[in-house]
Amino acid sequence: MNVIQTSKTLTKRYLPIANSQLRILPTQHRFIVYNEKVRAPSESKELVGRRKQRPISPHLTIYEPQIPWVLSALHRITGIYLGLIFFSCTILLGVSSIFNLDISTKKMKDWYKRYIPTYASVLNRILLSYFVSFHSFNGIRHLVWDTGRQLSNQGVIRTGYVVIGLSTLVGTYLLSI
Amino acid sequence: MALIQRSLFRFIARRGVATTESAMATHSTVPKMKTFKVYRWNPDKPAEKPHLQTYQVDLNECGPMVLDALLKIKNEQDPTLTFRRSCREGICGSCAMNIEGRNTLACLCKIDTNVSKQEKIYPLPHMFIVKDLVPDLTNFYQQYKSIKPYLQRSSFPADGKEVPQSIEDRKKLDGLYECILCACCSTSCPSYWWNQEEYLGPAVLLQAYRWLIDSRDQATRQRKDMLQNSMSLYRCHTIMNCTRTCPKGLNPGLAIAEIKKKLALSA
Amino acid sequence: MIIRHTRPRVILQKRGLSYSVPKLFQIPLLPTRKQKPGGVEGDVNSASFVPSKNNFKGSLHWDLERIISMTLVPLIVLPFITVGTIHTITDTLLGAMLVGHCHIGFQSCIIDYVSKRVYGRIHNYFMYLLTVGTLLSGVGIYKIEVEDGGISTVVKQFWHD
Repeated sequence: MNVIQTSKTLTKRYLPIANSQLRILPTQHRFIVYNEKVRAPSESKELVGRRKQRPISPHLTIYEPQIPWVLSALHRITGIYLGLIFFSCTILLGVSSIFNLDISTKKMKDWYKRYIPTYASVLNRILLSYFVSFHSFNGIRHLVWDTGRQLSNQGVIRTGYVVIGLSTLVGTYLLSI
Repeated sequence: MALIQRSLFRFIARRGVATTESAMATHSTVPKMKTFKVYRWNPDKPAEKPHLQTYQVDLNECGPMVLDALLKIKNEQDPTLTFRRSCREGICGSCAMNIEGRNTLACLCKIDTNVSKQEKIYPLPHMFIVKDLVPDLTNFYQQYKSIKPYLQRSSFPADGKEVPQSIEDRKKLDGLYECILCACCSTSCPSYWWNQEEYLGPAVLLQAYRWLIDSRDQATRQRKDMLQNSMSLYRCHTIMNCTRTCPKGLNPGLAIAEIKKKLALSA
Repeated sequence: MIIRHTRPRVILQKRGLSYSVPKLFQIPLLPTRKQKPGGVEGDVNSASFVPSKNNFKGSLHWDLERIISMTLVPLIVLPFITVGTIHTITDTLLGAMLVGHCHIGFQSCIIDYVSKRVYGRIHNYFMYLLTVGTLLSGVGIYKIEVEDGGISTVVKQFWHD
């Protein structure tokens, strides 16, 4: 008969290491998380000197554009664009209400109509509709991934094409209304 | 037709098959020259910027893999070309490099036989370069050590025999233990490019998961606590470049998603 | 005696690349802290630093991010499928979730690109700026709800002009 004995006493252990930061987590077991101060006798001045001169290998410029990271970059870019627009509009209204600057949404709309040239506002409309739909669908794709589903190569590609297709359709619809 | 076949049979019977082939092929030794562009940087001349050096290799006299071409260049054309290599069969992980924009093992990457295209060979992306195609993997190995990739138990079975593990629990480790730590996945991750020193990267997180779900390990609480900060695990934005590029067909992205689920539900 | 320069057997072409020094992708005008040479300290036998445990920055932050995103999915769809305007409470919820989502999104970008390790105090300043912006944005959402009849109304007006 196998009897596995487990020690259930609360133990705090201190290790005799000089110059170390110890954070002891009182646990039922004897596993300690600590960070050792980096002591590397093999690290000579010459090595550090050589390390200073090392270049970094190219990354974005040479990596093949692939569905995983291109769509992820697009997700971030669309998110930043939409976030900036949302924040700028709402912060402007917030600032005006705190400092009594009397800026209303109607005034913002008039300002937009007066100062933004037509081509810019048309471009903004196009970008907004496609970006909103892409970011939303890709967001749903991220939530699906967070449940652990569709995380194979095939799943990533499949969901990627679904997101691209849906976002073009819905984006075009949003542009039309 | 039968006459030709009979004479060929007698010829082969007398001379053997190899000499027959070479006798028949002597008129078709048109060299098939493939252009390779390889990243070069010399630490003895650090002021010179890294550049691409072009080599021509005859594919008729070269093995099928990129590592064969690199060795041929090193042997015959430029002995100063430096790269890591060992097993030549995709199990040691030494020859990891960026070939044609993808991180893979040079010994497993077939040369594209279309000679009108150039093959670009770079070292692993966003790594400090020691020389030519050799990256400095010190940080990578330090991160691997930091997750304590060994069995931690407070007590062992009283009979002194092995720690028992069921077949189902052992199956959970499939797809995780086969990692050869080549660093292809970590160096394909843009998050790792920007925050190499703090984000652990898919390879190390795959191994962290391997130890998290090992039923024989008893330090699960501590292993989870090591990942409870904004950088070590949570710089992963599910970009999924890692799974795409793994030369062994493993899935670090799935492992990281499972770690996140574990931490979220049982923190 | 003239020494003839012999042609090399192989044609070598050198093309200079813009190589990345450790200061690549540095945001212009912002000073950076001194970084470890070669990005590493110690040798292969030392372990890298394990930060202290903070659930609020770890799994709880991730949970909050996912909960906000999940509630945002139906809230975004709702204004498009309802013919008229949506109820003020739903609209306020949409506004609050959007503010939270943007905050967490920008926070993630700041941590990635303006990291504390490289930029030190400037990282903190960016974070303070973001928090201030989020609070002001919250006030702005309140103003929209009270005065202009909600976000969906305002967006529809802007869109149909």
